[in-house]
Amino acid sequence: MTSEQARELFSSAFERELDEPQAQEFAAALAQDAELAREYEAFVATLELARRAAGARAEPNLLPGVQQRLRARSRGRFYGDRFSERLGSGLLQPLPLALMMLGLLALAWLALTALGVISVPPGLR
Amino acid sequence: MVDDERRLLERLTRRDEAAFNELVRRHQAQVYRLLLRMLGDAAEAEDVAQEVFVSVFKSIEGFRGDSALSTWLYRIAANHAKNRIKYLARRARDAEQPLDEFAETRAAAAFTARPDGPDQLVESHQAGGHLQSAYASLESEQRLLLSLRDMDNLSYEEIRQITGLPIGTVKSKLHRARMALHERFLALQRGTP
Repeated sequence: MTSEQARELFSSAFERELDEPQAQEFAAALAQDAELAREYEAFVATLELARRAAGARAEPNLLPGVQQRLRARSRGRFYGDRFSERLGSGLLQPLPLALMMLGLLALAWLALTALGVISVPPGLR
Repeated sequence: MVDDERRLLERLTRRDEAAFNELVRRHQAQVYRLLLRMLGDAAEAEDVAQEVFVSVFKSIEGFRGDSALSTWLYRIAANHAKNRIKYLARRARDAEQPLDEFAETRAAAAFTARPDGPDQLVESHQAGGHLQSAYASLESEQRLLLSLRDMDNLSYEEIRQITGLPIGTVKSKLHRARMALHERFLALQRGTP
């Protein structure tokens, strides 16, 4: 095996993918050529350094930003603030609340009419 | 695909927001780290990572389940990274900034070497900087392959699914990428870039 052929096997040797005869030939090539052996050692050291260095930084929390983008692009269909749901359930749901408000308005109108504060428009009599 | 992932996927296709939150929490680190290594800039990486998850939310029905969810996410992230690199290069060209200078300025702290002890701090810091510069000077495909295999320890089958390249091609391109990284790193260490 020439030095050039051995260099082509650096990655496979690093990953321990060489079969037995290839591994023996590769080891023999390194044993015969001290420069090649140093090259392989330095190659492995570089990859080990890259492996150790990877992922040394802390990752940010992406969720709030993702939710904000989805809320904006879906025009509130997803990740909306759900104001009414947060208020509670039952009587505070939007439809019952609207009916209650209508009832209150009707009562106020009737009371004010009976007291003579406002008068019924002629067209409604 | 494992049962847990299948259940999560079912909830995701129903646009269950809690399920989507879980997906983001589970996979945000892997997506962000890949993008940081590809783009070399923390703010760009964060922006693109958020876009990746928005794309996932929109196109979850397109996931057929023939690979792991994480592999699919890697594929989407890699495509987004390629598009952003093209966009940034185009913008740099429009601003008449030389491409070499552009690559240098993008070579931010994508990764930082961790020294084994205090005595090695200075030496390790310098080696980390050289490694970073060597890595940033590689082509984007080489950075992707190194990142997936040597930093995230993915299998060749997973890399095939992410890149769409046959396994033999992945191996030969990865070897070229490793040799290029090593040679550029050595040149920087010797002070002969």
